Amino acid sequence: MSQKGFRHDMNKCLECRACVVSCKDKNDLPVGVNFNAIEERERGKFPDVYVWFTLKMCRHCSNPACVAACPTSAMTKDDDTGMVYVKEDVCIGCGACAKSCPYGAVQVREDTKKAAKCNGCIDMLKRGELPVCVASCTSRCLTLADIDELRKESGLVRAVNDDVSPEKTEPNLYYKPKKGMRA
Amino acid sequence: MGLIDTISKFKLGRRAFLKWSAAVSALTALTGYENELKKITPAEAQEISQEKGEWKNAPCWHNCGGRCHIKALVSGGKIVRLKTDDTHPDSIDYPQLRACARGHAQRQQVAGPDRLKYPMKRTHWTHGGGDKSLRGRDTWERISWDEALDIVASEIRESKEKYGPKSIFLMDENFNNQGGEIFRVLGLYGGYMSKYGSRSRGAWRQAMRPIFGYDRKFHNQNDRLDLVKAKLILLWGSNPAWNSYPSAMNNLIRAKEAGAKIIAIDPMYTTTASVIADEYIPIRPATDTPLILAMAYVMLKEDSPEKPMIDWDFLNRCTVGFDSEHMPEGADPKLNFKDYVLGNLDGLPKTPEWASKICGTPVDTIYRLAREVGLTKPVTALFAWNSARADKATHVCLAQTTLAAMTGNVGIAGGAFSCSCQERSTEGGPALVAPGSTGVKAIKNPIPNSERMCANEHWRAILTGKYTAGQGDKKDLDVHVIYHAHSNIVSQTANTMESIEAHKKVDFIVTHQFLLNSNAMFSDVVLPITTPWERDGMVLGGAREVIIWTQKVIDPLFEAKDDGWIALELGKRLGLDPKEVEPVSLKQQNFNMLAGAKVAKPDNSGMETLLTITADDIKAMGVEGQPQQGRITLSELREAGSYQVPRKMDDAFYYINNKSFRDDPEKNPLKTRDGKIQIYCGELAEMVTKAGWNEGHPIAIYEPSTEGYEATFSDFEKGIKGKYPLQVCSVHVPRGAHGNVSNSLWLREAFPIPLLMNPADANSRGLKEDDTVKIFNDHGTVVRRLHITERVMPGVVMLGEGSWVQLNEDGYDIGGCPNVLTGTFPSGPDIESFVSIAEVAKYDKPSLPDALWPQRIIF
Repeated sequence: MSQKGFRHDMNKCLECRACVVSCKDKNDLPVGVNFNAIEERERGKFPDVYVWFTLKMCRHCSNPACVAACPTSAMTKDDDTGMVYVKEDVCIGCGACAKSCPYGAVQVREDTKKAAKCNGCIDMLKRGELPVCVASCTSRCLTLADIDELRKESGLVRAVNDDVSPEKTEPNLYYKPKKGMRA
Repeated sequence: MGLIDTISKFKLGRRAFLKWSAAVSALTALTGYENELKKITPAEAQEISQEKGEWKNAPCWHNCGGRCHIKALVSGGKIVRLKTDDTHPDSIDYPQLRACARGHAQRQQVAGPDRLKYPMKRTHWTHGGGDKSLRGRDTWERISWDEALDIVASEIRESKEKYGPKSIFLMDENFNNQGGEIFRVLGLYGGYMSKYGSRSRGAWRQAMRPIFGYDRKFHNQNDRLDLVKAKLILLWGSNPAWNSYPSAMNNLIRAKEAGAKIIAIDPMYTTTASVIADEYIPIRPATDTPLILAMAYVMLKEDSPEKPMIDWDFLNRCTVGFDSEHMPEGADPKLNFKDYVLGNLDGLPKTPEWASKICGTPVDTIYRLAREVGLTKPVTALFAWNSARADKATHVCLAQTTLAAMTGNVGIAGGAFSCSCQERSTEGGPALVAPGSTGVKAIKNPIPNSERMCANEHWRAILTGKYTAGQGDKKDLDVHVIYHAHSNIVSQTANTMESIEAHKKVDFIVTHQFLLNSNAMFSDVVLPITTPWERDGMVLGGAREVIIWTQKVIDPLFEAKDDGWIALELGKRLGLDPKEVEPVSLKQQNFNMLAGAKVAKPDNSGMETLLTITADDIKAMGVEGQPQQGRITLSELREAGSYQVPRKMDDAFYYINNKSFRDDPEKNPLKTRDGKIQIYCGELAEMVTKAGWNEGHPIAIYEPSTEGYEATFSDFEKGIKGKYPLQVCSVHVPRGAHGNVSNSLWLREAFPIPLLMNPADANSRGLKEDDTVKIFNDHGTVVRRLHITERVMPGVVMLGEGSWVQLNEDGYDIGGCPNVLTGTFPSGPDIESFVSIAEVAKYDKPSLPDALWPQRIIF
């Protein structure tokens, strides 16, 4: 299996949310269904404030909890790209995937009663295009790469803020933490 | 403080964090999102899943100023999805022009369920106005185009015949590079009352011509590729991360990576500051001039041959008015900048201690900033227009120019003091590619310019029947009809509450719109228009390196019509010659702009024709024209959707503003009174005084805004706060482009607009995160959810602009329009004031998150 991974350079993220809205457009998502988000956090006291923006999305884990939890094999990991996606015709909407995901990246839609999550724009990847979130990133802080490249790059981490330990599911979203973030 | 210790301060608690994917899902079912326009057949679904269909160029047209690339996948006449620039490989020199979130949400603006579908009339409108108090909350009735046009024509006719042409107030602020159709109709029919004024650009629009000899959007900026040569960059009220796409932030990030130190000066620790600033310096809204004066004071006191801060050579050669030795002809030598700053004029030295009390910047920070700006060469300072978007703020323009001249940051690589906004954010220099003219000759308004009224008081003028026509000159006004061709000025002009009152006074209001925005909501008849995506093309220029051409993306939705068609139909009813109403069709106008498009020659020795156009092209477009030779073919432009000039570091297009002036000011004078920079600007002072509201000053004398920081006190000297102790700062937010796009549910969800308040101010008022609060003053009351954040200066609250006003049963605006809080404080030459003061308290009625507001769906 080959695996693609995402890289979020938190030094350059502008919270512009072009990734968020282009994803809504591509997947035609109603309010309340989001495959990604930008979370804003702050610490310190005015005027010495520190602010950082964190991309939230499916980590397309190498050992995905959602796939393990799915009773009908609707949750699938793609061989070519490593992207995790939902086979809607098999999904029974039980929500086991949503409960199992330590990243809160899966939900059962109220309108379709099916599991819904980022599929890494697998259709576009297979046509040789970039996922829309990457292609629309205005500051070029979000990129896609082969996982081997990301594993080699120093200074990247797979857990920020209050993320669970990456050993649990082997996530494939790598963060380049913002300078000063851990101080 | 460690990360764990601060966890309770995070904006999202743990539970909310786990739920990010469905942040507001509990109420999703209420939103009525499902859109009739998007129901598709199984065959179409199959086609869409295979991404069949045609990619059509579909850029935004808004006044955010972004010139970004968007294409729409159109299948079966429906927009399936959008994508941004993939026309060439991406690099920082030659970047893809990637759209922001607003661009990606564009199909919710064009083809959402809240799109206006039919001509409509307010139920209780009758000739003469009917029940005018119901405007803004009446119900609507669908009417035919014939009925709608008959009503509009007959109201115009009667108003003109009974009360004269000045009884018709026309606001025509159309789509980019298009429009003016109703100017033509009413111009041909005998005239109309119009307005002048520089809403967005504050004092900058008028003041820089007499001070520095220019009136151009890129102000004094150098080339964007020059930013890497700056040693120090000041971002003065400038927050491109929230409002300038596609490239401004990337240009600044590059400068930072090249080693420039970046200092952000702002009432808020902005997102821009958080990403690129090495230092953040707080300043209160509309107090920029005191900070600049104090910096000048420090420089004057500390400048020495060993540590030179002031560029005396430049001041002496290129400016007038800095000191008594270098005054313009006829000026009182005592009235010079240096003596004003040192206190020789008024006994008040403009020390950091004096300034700090007003601007809130700590005294030691002012000293440090002054020394750093004085001793570092070169410095680029990028201001936002907001700094002078306050009454009497011409002093900001004078002060900024003076600081630039004192430090010699004019006409040098890496050195420029300039505004940096809209399509020219970080981009100076003459256009490298530009469209030609439309070929439409404007119709002159028979009412002379001298009788126009200023936007800074137009609502009050309509209400009181008097407007200011110059110094000591108040003229009568009797408006009976308001004609809104486009725009959203009920919300976007100062004093929205007075605007609403003015709209309730007149007999008839008509609006051209495609959504029920604020203007449409307060109208009697609304004419549904096409968006540029449904028209015969659009050519967008204005940025330095790109022009964009779009053709029709989809057919007009429902009964929407072009403004040009409306103009012709009205003209017919008013007995006008259609050839004069529409001398050039929209299709032909766009062709003319393309045929006349010019691009800089590769060696930058001049401009040459951009497009090769064949006889077949002309025939296929159905227009008139001559074949021509140019750099690229028309079909290449159609395929790409844009032409962008490739750039690289130190290429022929590298540009330093004012270099020839600096090198030889006698040979290359500025377009000012004596050809030099006017630190003493008699012409500006005269312009201000002659406009009729206040007395102008020729040098940068600080005058507080009527509702600036000083007005938050009942006794400023004794430090006793008044009943409105907070300054309200309205800011551009990524959700909307002024009044545009903010109707999109995706954007409302991604960018809620809370009131931002410092914890100190929240605690002293007993307010908690996410409380519903009212922000109120003598002008009006706005209701918002509260976000408490250390990012905002104590004593200041921030409110995003662009939302459409929506009054509830208490008369409060639950839409979140900051202009409900601004007053009418006109000043010369034409400044509209957008600063305000207020108090904030808990509001006892619940409010829905913005994404769950009902959409304005009429039919």
